[in-house]
Amino acid sequence: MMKATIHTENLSRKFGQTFAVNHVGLDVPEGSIYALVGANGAGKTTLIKLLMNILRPTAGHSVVLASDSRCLKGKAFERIGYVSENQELQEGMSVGEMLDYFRAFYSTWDRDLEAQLVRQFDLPRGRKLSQLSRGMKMKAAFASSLAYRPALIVLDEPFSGLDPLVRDELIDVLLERAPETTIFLSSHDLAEIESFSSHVGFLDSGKLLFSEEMSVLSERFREVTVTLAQPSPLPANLPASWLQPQSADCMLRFVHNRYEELATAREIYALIPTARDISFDAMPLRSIFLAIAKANRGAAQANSAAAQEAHA
Amino acid sequence: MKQILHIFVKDTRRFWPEILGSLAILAALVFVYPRRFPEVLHIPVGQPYLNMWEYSNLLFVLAMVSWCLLIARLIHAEALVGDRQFWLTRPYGWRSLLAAKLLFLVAFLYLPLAVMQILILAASGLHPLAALPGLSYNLLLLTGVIVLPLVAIATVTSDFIRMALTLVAVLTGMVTYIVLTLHISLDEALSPAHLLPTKNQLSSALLLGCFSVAAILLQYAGRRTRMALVMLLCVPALLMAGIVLKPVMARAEQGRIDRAFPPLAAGEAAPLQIAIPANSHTMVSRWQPGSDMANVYIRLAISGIPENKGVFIDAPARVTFIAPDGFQWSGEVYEWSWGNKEFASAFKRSAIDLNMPVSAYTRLQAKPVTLRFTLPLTLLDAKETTRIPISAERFAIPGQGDCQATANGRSLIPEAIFSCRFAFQRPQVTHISAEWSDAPCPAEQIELDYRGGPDWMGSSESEPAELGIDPMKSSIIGLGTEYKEHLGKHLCSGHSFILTQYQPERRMQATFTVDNVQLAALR
Repeated sequence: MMKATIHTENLSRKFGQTFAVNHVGLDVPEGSIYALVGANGAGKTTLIKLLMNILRPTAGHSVVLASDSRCLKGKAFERIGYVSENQELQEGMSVGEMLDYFRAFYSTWDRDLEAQLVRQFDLPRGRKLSQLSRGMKMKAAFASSLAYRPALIVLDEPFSGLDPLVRDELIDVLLERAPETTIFLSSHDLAEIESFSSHVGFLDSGKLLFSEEMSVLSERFREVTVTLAQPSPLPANLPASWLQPQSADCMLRFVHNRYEELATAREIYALIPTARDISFDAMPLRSIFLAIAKANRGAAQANSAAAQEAHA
Repeated sequence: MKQILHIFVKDTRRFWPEILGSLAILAALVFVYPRRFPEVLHIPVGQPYLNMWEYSNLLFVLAMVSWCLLIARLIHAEALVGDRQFWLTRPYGWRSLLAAKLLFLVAFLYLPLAVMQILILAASGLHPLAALPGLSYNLLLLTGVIVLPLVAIATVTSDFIRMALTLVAVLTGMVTYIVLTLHISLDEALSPAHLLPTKNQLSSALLLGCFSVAAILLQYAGRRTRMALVMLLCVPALLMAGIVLKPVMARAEQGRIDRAFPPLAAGEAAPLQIAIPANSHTMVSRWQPGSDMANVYIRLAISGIPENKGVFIDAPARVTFIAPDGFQWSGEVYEWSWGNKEFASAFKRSAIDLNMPVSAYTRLQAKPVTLRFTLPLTLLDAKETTRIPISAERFAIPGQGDCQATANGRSLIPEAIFSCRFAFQRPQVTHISAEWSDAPCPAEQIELDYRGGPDWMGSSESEPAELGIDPMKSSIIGLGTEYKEHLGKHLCSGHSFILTQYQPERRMQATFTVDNVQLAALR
């Protein structure tokens, strides 16, 4: 089994009575590019801040590079590169001054790599950070976080609000570093991570709905269309793996989240004897996430209604 | 060490405008401050000069503001509150970070301050090297009372605006506290001194410093903002507890006084006598129209102090009023008028103020009452005496300060009033007198005019320095009013001032009874 660079167990963080991160358990394998996705407010940034020991967990724990994240400080950050969209930089410094300043903190700082990154990003060394555009600031932050060849790169919404050109530049540089590091990044934009992530986790309202390899995920989700011999209502007690079932006339549609071609076909014929034809369509990542999110919210609403009924 | 210097250099580069501003203010002080004392600059009488008191006071305030700004900018460069700071995910060692900040404060706050104070002392005619213990002690007090609390507040705030608002809240709290303690002490005729945790500067500095250090360490070691805030809030909480627990504290304070000032043994004579002058009146008025509290003012004549001895009333004194029908009211002396609670062997007048409920006063005023004074006394023994011929020249109080006969800050004869300057602290307790003449001055001598004013300086419990940025303590010393106004004596040119240093010998608590005192009618 592959070693986990990041491991969390029941990791939770409450703000007041609200769970921002709700009993999250995930593993980020060493060498992977792990994308944590979720809508705005899903708890991605809080989760990352818990991992970086910027915030303290309310419950549970996490291990980052074999250290308890609550003990992560000082020298431990020589092996971690962290870039966040809303991180405050030393705005009074020029790019060159910032790189010079940070260099002294890292024993593994690679001056050649620094020069290469500055060239690649076309960073103006003499320009103050306060005078840089958002994209240039992000590039400067990347350069200062990659030049010491960290074992783990943690990026919180790194591409948010950037133009496609800058985004591609940053992704290219990340991919260059990928063979020698583990990358953990968060995003609310599925399209931007789909092309290069090896693993994906989906956070919704603080809960991790799934966390797995991208290829496995794509393989196990299918949009299923069943043509019926005659119009019939949805059968009762549908399996939990059938998400968002809809029927109209002689057609039944749903998303299957445990797809295996033969087994799934047998399962459908067993439950719907009037099925005449079945088609399985691969789904883009975006559709998979939408299906999961809607199913999850539907289940939550159903639970809430049941609880209210029981209370009444 | 490398990281400490690295952070220090970064901060120095970044905050050079703030550093420059702070240094400029201190440099201006070095220039302006000695000009408060024109006699030091040998400006002749009659020649106009620019009064620099206001300017130097303004510069002291500006220096404090510049330090607040410097400390806020320094600490907030790596702010400890918030979750967006760049340094949180960089390999900073907290000890190195804290050490770098302290190094910065030493380099750009303490060192310039010490240099400024030494230069001011030198320019004012006082020997800086002799003042080194005072300088060190003063820096210690400033650290505990000003620098550490400011650093602590900076560590629990995220930016300068929040820190400024916190400081405004602290100042408002202090004013409220003072008003509250005064209100309570007026209502119950208690001195506010009861409500303070301590009157000792070093204890206050240590108390404040310890809570501040705890908050700073909590923040730097683990960014425990809530706990650090609780630590800082302990200080006002303690002060407020002092108010709530005032009766308990007052009892504790009375116990402390009783222990420090043991009662005289049976048959032992008190080192002074108290009388109410025959031609004198008591006076009384309401605090405010309609107030149910009255201010009672009683004149006293102090005598009977043995030769070569002095007596200080260092702790709160109590007076009990006993009516012929047995009704009693007891209260603490609120104030000794003109500060006259230090006495040498010569006869002297004084007066006390008390606050008393109007209802009690009305009952007591009906018939003559008996007054019983309970006074904690410090008996002092006269030591070294120095005679200094009266002249316009400056003279030194041996080993302590620098004085000159002046009036309104200008060299002046024939008025005999001292302006004295001391480094960091007022001197060992010293009594000022003069060679008085019973007869008017002969024709060849000038009769010197003189004003009233305290004829003692210094304290029987002095610390090596008084808290403040100002390295100089100045006092105007008079010769009392008794000799001229009440004893009809004369002071002539060619006579000498007599400076006598005293040392505490013993503490005691004495009770004096004065019968048949008719209190004045309430106005």
